[in-house]
Amino acid sequence: MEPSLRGRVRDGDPDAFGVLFDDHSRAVYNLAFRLTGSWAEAEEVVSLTFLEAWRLRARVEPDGESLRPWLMGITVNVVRNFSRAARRHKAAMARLPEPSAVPDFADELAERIDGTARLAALRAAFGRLRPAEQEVIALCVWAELDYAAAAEALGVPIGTVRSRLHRARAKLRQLAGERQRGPTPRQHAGYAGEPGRRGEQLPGDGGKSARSALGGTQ
Amino acid sequence: MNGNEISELASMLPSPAARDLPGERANMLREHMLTELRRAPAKNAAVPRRIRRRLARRPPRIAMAGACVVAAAAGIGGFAIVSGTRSPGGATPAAARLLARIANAAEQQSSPQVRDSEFMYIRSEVAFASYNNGSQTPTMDKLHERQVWLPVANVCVTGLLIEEGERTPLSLYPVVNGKVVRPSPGEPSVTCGEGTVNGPTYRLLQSLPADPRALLNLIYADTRGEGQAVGPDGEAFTTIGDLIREAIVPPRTAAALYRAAALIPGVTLVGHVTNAVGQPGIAIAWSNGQGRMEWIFDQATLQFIGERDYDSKAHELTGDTAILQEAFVSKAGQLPGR
Repeated sequence: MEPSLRGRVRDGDPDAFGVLFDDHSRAVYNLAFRLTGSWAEAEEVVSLTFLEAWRLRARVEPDGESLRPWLMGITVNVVRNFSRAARRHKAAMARLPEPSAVPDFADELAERIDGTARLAALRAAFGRLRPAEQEVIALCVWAELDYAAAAEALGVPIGTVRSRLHRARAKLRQLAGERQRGPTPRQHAGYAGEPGRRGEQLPGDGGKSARSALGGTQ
Repeated sequence: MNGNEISELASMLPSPAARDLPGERANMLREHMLTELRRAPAKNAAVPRRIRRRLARRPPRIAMAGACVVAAAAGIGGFAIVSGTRSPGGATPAAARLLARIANAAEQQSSPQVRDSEFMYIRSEVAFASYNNGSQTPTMDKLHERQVWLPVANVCVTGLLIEEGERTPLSLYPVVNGKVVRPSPGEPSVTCGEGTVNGPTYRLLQSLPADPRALLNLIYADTRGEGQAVGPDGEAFTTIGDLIREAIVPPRTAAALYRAAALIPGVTLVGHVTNAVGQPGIAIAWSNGQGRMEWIFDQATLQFIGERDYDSKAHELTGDTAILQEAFVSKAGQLPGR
C-alpha cells in the first residue's frame, strides 16, 4: 500500500514536502502578508513555515484531511515568534538566495498604491483587535478554514475559536459605530507594510513582534 | 459553521487581493526548502528550550544542527497556544526560604560602574546533551570550556564566542563563514538597542522591574503561549534561568529575579549537588514528568555557580555547567585583568 502524504511527511520524505509546498505555499504566502503587511516578509515567512513544518513533522497525525490547517497554524506562530523562528533557522535562511529577478515595476507600483490605502483601512480596524482575535480572523475569514480546522491550526478548542470570532465581531461593530459618530478614537503606530517594518521590532521579543506589526493593542 | 458571521467579518475588514509568489521566487523558495531539508537528517527528540537557546548562539553550522536536534515534541515554536495564566501557589517553603536568602545575598553585591562600550565576559565549563538519530537517549558532550563576550548596551554590537577551539562572532545578523552579514539598505533588519527579555543586554537587565510580582507578570506575559512542553510555570522558570545563566546580572535585578522565582508554582529545593567542576552547592529546581532543571548556588556565598538538567524519562543528565569567571572587559576577545 502506498503511504499517505501525511505518512510521508511524518517520515521526513523531502518529496512529500515538495508536494506540500506546491499545494499550500500560495495560501501561506497570502496569510503571512495579511499578518505582516509586507510581501518581502511574507516570503521569508513562507520559507520559515516550511522549515518549521519539517522540524515539527512528527506531530502530524497519520490520519486526517488536508495538512493546510496545520501549516496555517505554523504560519501564525512563525509570524508571532518571527525573530525566534528566524534565529532557529538562521543558517538555512542565510543560504536563501536573494530575490534576483527584477520585479515588474509597473505592477508593483500599482499594487503598492492600491495596497497602501487598503492596508491603512484594514490596520485601523484590525489593529484594534487582540492578537488571538486577529489570528482567528486571518484563519477563518481570509484563509477560509472552517472552525474545526482553525481550532486545529491554533491548537485550541472549537468553542474558543467561536468565542474569539464573536468578540472580534462585536469589537469591529463597535468600531464601525465610532467611525460613523466621529473622529478616529486612536492613532496607530505608523504602519505601511514597508520593508523593514519587522526589522523595527526588537530581536528576540517573541510574540510582541507580530503584535506590534499588527498595531497591537495589548 | 456560521457563514453569516464570517461574511459579516469579511465585509468589515477590507481584504487585500491575494497574489502568487512573484516570478521565479516560488521555485527558488521551493528549491531552497528541499536543499535545506536534505541537509538536515531526520531526528526526533524533546530537548528543553534552554538547550536550544544555547545552541542558537553557536555558529550557524551548529545552530542548524541544533535546529534538527530539537525536533517535534518540545517547543516554543509549537503551534498550540497555551494560555499564560498562572497556577496558584508558589515555590515550596524550603525553596522560598533559600531563594529569599539568595536574593538578599545578590542585593548585597556592589553595583559595578559599566560603560556602554564594554562587554560582559563569562567563562564557564559546559556539557550539553544531544539526541541523535531519533534516539530517546541523550548523548552528552564532553565537558569543555566556553567563553563569551556579550555587548553591554546594544544587541547590534557583535560579540564573540570561543568554544571547542572555534571563534564565532555573536550577532543578530547572519554569520556566514565567520563574517557578520549586515543587511543592505531597504532589507528587513533587526532593531538595535538594549534587547528584550528573550535577548537582553546588561542595560536591559538593569531596566527590569525590581518588584518581583511585576517582574514575574512581565515574564509570564512575555512568554505567553510558549513552552508548550513545560507550561507557563516551567516557561517562566526557564526564562529566569536564561537571564541568569550566562550574564552578569545587576544586583537589584538578580534579587528581583530570585524573588520572582519563589512565586512560581512547582519550584523546589534540592540539597547537596555539585556543579560541573565538582563544586558543592544547593539547588533550586523545577521539574515535570519529563525533566528537571536545576540552578546551583554556592552554599556559603549563595552565588550562582552553574546548573544541571535531567531527562527524567531516560534518567540521564542532559546539561551540566559551572560558571568560572565573570567580568566586564572593554573589547570582545579581551580577557579580564587581574
